[in-house]
Amino acid sequence: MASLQQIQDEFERRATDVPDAAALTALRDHFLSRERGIISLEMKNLPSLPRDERPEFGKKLNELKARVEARLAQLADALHRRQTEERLAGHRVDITLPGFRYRLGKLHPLRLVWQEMQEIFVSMGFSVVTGPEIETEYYNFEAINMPEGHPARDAQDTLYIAPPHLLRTHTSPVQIHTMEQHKPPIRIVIPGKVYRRDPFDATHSPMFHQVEGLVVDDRISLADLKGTLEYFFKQFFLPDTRVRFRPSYFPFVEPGAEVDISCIFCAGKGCRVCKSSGWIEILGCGMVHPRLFEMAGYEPDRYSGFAWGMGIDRIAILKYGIDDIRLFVENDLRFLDQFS
Amino acid sequence: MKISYSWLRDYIALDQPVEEVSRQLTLLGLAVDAVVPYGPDFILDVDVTTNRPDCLSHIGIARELSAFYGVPLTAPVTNLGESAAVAADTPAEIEILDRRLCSRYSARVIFEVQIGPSPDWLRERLLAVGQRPINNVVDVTNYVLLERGHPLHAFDFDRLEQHQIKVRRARRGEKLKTLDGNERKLDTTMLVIADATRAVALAGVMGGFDSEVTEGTTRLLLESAHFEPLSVRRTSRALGLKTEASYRFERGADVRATVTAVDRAAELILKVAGGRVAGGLLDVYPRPRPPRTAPLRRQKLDALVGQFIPDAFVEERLDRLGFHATRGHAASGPAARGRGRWKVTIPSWRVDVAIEEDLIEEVARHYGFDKIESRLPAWSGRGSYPVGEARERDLLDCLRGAGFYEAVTYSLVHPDWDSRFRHGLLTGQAAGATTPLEAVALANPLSDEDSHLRTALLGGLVRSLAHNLNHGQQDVRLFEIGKVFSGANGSYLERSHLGLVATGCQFRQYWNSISSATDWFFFKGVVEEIGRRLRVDRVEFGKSSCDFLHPGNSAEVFFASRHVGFLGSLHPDRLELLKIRQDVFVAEFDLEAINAIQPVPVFYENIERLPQVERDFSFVVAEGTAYNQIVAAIKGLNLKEIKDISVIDVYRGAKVPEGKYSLTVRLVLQHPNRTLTQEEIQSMSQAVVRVLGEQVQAKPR
Repeated sequence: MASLQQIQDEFERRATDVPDAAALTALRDHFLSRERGIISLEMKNLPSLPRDERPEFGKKLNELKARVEARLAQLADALHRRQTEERLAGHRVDITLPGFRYRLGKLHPLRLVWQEMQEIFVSMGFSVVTGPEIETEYYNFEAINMPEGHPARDAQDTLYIAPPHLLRTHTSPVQIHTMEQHKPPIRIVIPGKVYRRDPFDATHSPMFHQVEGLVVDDRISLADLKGTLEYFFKQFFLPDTRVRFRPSYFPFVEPGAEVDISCIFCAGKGCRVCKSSGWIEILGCGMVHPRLFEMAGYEPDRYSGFAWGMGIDRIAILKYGIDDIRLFVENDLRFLDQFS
Repeated sequence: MKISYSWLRDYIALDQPVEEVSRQLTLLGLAVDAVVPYGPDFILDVDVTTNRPDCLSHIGIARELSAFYGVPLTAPVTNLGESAAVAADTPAEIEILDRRLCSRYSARVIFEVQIGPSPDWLRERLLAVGQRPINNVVDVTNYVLLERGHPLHAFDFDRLEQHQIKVRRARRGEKLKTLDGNERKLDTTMLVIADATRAVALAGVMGGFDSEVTEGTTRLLLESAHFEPLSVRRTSRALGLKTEASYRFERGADVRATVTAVDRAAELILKVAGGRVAGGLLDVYPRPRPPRTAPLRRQKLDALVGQFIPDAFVEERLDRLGFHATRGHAASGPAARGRGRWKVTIPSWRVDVAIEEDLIEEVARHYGFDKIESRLPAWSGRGSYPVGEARERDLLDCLRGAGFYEAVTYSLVHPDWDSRFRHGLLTGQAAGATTPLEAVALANPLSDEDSHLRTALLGGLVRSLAHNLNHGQQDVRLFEIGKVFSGANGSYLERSHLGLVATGCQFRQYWNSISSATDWFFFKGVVEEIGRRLRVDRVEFGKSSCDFLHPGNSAEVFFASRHVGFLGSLHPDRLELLKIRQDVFVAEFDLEAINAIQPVPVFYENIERLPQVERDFSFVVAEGTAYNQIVAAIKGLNLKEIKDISVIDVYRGAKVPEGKYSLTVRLVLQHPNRTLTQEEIQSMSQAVVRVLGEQVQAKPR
């Protein structure tokens, strides 16, 4: 049986070397474990002491136990602090090294431009409809007042499959399909691929993307057409975009107009993109020609409407400052990666 | 159309600067693309739309400006000094044999001309607008064309057999050597000018070589006719011959301008080439056309423009443009607003104007589109997105998350290339076609490279992938959503497809990690994720025998038991064609088949709060035993406590015998409403070991 002093001395000696949690547990167990701890054993041994020694020894033993417990708590605390310090000291990153590079994909710039346009048109009350890319001469030309031999057909050199089938040269056939199936009011936009017999170069492509709009209702006027397109362009480009309407000719509208916007690169001062004119030609539009209403089987002289058509590729080129239309179908990742 | 500014000012006294006039022309619908200084003059490049042949001349442009500025038009008045009563001494006979294609033929005969170079003023004018001077007579016909827009032709009168002019269709097999020296083979749809025996000119397109005015010519027949636009256009296109004359005739010439044009030319020829005009105008005009009219209603004008334009403006502007507006019975003016109407006579040169809307355009364009106040139409509410928009956005989201970049490839392809990536399922069968459909050929392709419509997206996508590999990219993942086409005999099918291609690292190379290559399981995972994201009921894979895929790394894909597409590693043959040395994974889906599958609705399931037990089982099985056979055997036990089955390891190597492989499967066990006992777990484990032993001869490791 060791003296309490010896126990205390042994504890103090051992308590100088507690490097980690396991050593601390071992130390605690050595002295305080219920079954084998030296102090616990002394406690158990207490009843066997002579009755007169018991109070004194018991008191001292309790004091010793309390000291050991306090010391152990101190050690635990110190150990915890040391571990925290070590953890803080051990991990220093170079915050300038790059982080993990996520590899999310990207949407094509033409889709991004269309999605942006679509949100504006839908918010303005237009519904989006689509139609086939293979069409007939009737829907692509005749029904929109471009009969055979019409000189305006020259401007749209057509890729034929086997006449009367062809690749649509504009999304206008969908205007006729829609009018054949629905009575006014009609408010639609029609996006899609269109084809022309133009060889590829920096500004031409045999395949490009168009969006046309059509409104038919009672008392729709040129003033409504102007307001609608001005609102769209101010939303799509900048609120201070100016819009200019010039008379022009498209067989499917009367009156017809060409729309220019103030150059978004030089704010109308004149630059390379607008060829110093301050204006960029952006779409064709007009009041729906009565012949189209006739073709659609509408009551004559009952409705009026307006329509427009613009190239999504062209708008994307202007919006992003792209200089070669062929980039859209080359799918070079270095190109695609730039848009989001 | 090139317009000389100084020439223009012969007909209208303008003192505005050329820039201002150009801007105004543009706002009137005659877009001036460029103003180029030419000595003291300016040349305007005017983009005349196809409906306005009347503006393909200096007087035509001057008329628009005259109407706009209210400055009078001073077109030259011709005086040949001949009274109407002069007897014809012209020994020429003119006969129109096809009155539909030629409605009028006017001519003058001029004797004793002296062919030679034109005087400087004439040569200068032609050169300024880009025309090459030829000789005084030809130059005058060109000058008159540029002055007033009416095409003329000068024949050597003495080369016209029997001095006859017959306007007729070409005979079968008839030939004509045109002015440009080319021998043209004609057909019976073409209109020619002939003499007694043979064709001497292609009507409205080009004169003949043999009857051309040459140095020795002394007597002329000047032709000023009107030909039917469609016929001129067809002939010009059939022969690939576009001329200043055909350009105007096919747009529509002024039937009433023939006489003034020929007289103006005769007058100028006398001035620059001498000679005398044979007495009497030759003018065959079998069915003179009465002036056309169209109504114009105040109500319609207001409704279409959306703004009130005063009566005085309407009438004055139409009159200045050569129209004549007569007020109808209901009085116009503010008192009768809404009920006024005009009867408008249309000038013969305005072939583009026929209906009320055309007149409204004339009024609105001269009023100024910019003066019409914009307004937003009076409707409200949002429009609708196209059918399938929400699902497409889910799909795009999923593909973007999986690292795919969206591509757009060209719909027109070389048929051989396209067919190398064509999967039978996708060319029609999926759409229920009973006969195999063919690739659709173009009748007039730009080249062989793009002579057909694509039947698959992969041909274009693998090309784009190869392009990227050739330009220094190693990790490429692309997708495309687009139409593919098939069909035959006038019946065509368009289907929306989704194509995917991937190669290189799964994740971009990064300094702090190693990245493994895109492999079958990575790519299959993308396909499975698409199925999950679109909430289709089951995503399953079956054996594929597609000839452009690696036979051991390919599968057909089934969503909710519908065959919707395929995936696989490209066959080494195809990689060689593309000169690619790394594995490329591809997939293509019929999006319309996928969109027809109803998505499984989202319905909340309780989160299990009770403890779950995981048990791993390692087996050795024979090569060729498929993972889904093992899953099926375990599921066959019908133990509701088995919540999940997954594979955690597949091992081949020294520790297992030849012809076998080891598979470790993890089961998640859970009782629906209490904790499982050790005995229950033990008994289930024994059942799993037993059923795998019986059904797939699996031996526990």
